[in-house]
Amino acid sequence: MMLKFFWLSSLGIGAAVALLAAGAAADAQNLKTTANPNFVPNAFHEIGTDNLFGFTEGSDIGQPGEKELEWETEMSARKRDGRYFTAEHHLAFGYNPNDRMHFEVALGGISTDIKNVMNPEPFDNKRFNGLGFVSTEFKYLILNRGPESPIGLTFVVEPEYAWIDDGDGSRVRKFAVETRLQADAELIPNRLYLGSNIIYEPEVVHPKNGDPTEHESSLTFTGALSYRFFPKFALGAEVQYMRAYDEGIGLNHFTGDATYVGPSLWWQISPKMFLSLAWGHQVRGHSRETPSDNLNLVDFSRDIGKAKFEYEF
Amino acid sequence: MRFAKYTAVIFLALGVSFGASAQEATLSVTIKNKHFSPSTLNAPAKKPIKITVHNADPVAAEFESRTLRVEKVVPPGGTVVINVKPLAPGNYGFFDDFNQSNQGVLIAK
Repeated sequence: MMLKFFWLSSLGIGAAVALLAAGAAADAQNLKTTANPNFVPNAFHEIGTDNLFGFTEGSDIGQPGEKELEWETEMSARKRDGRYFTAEHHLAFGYNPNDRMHFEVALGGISTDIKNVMNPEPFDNKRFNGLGFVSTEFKYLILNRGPESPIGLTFVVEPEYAWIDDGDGSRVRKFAVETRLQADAELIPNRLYLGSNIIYEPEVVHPKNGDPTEHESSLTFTGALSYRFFPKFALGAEVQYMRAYDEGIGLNHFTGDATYVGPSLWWQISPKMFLSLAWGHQVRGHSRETPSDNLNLVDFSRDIGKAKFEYEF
Repeated sequence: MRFAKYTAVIFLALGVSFGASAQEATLSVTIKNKHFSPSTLNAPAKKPIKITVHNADPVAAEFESRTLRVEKVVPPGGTVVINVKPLAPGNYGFFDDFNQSNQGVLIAK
């Protein structure tokens, strides 16, 4: 018994010593550092793609321990007639507890300016500016773009509770959970980037005016290209295809779709400050309620825009 | 008998894991006159790496790498130790985020 114990223990200690010796030899062999006089710094050094594309979000989540404050405004403008403008403003704090995860909490404001809009039923004329929702966001980096993988991939969940409807400014109790799969790749290293998102968002809306509860969902596919013309400045183009559903939160009853195209801009103001702008113009759409139209201005607006400012610390 | 077996297996496991963890590769880099020295680091692939970064300059630096998943401020005259998970073979760029022309590369082979 003791003999067996001795041999097995010896085997363990022996393996440890062998591995130590092998490790030391490998280290001695491989850990040569060189001054490398030929090394030339690249002005286009690596950047994070999280804000690079505009509406499409890149797979990067920042580095472990990084904190960020961000301001983001997403707006929708123009319906078939009248005046229509709505915007969602996020003020968010984000933190990366490790190299794979990112958490964010946000307080949101809503602005609406709606007058004489038929959709095809009339909207209430409304002007509103105020707090409207709170949300959180959790990102998990599945694949880190680099030598390990040519593609970056991140899964995102963003639950939101709202008391003002961002579509018409009415009083509601709304629960929504946006889930996204964000992928990207570098077509030309550190210069030309390709990004794509798949977004599914179910939501339940309880109107405060006594109307019945609405169960809706949407599915969005995006694709974007962004090119760094200068180390701290990139321009890009984006396509978004959106589908809207009602009668349930599981993509139950298709009500219409829309395709947007538009430009995007990314500017690294300083090493820790970023600004991104994006615009989308509806070029094609279809609504079940207005089948003869070749734009869907019932479920969606004619134009969408996004502005985001981020400060890391 | 059974106790002895289990104990021996635990010793074996501990021994092997201790040996394996001791395989961690160590690297050192110094920031001096706003340059990494050396600017090229060679390391074995698929092994944990410990990088010691010393800042010999009188201003703070930030050692950052998106591909290495690292961002650490190095105070003036200070030293930080960065643990990097085992890497796939390839080139991993790094730079000083407070002075982005200061760059280097870690080559995992």
